[in-house]
Amino acid sequence: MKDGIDRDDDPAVDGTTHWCQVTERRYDPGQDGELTAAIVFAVADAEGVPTSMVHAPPLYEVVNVDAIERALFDHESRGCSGNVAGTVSFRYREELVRVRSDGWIQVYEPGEPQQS
Amino acid sequence: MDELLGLLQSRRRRLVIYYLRNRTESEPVRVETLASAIAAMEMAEAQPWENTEESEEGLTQVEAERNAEGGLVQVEPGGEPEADRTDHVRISLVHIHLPKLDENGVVAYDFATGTVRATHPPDEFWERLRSCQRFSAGLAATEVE
Repeated sequence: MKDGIDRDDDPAVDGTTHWCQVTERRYDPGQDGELTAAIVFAVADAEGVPTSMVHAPPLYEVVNVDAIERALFDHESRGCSGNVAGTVSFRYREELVRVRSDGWIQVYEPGEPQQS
Repeated sequence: MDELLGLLQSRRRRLVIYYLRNRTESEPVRVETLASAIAAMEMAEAQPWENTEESEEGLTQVEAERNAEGGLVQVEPGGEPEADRTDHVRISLVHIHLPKLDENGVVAYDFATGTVRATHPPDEFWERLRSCQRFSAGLAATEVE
């Protein structure tokens, strides 16, 4: 298994669902304040709805956003400077959200309807 | 105590608790209204808790206020925040801060109606707050050469 951000991180991990990226959004930890808002903006963009429509379930019930923020973007507290590469993916609503340590938030939707 | 400090670690959550406990209206506030008020306080860099009378029995005083059904200083919002900022605040409230505060019994957040109100926090909340206060008093009493 390779480290870092590369094709091996392809989120089509469960083998049954085909994920297609629908949107991506850049998050700048220094500028944009909260990762939570950035994720919600990205999901709203992917669904083509206003952010106020993306309220259920609260992200609090799905992932620990503070922990993602610390793990991927809080370089100072770890005493290293930006050379950490990593990705956190999680399912949210109908989408798969992928947060990368380079600041890109990518949102995927199931590409083909499941015929079970 | 760790849990309490985690809860109060976020300035936005401190402002939410403070704002809700100092409202004069008794009916729940809409999340949008709350977000706008918090955004305004953040813009004004308000530290409303610094404005109250500092006293040795700070917490006792807070508890007295609690029993008196909220009679602290009314928070003055500092100007009208722009919609974008309010929207950011609203998102973080709805997705993180309100569920977390609700889970700890510090506010009651009604997800269905999109409203929130202050609660009487559980005894553990006050006990932890007292524990923090004892820690800080003990620390202040020590001297380092």
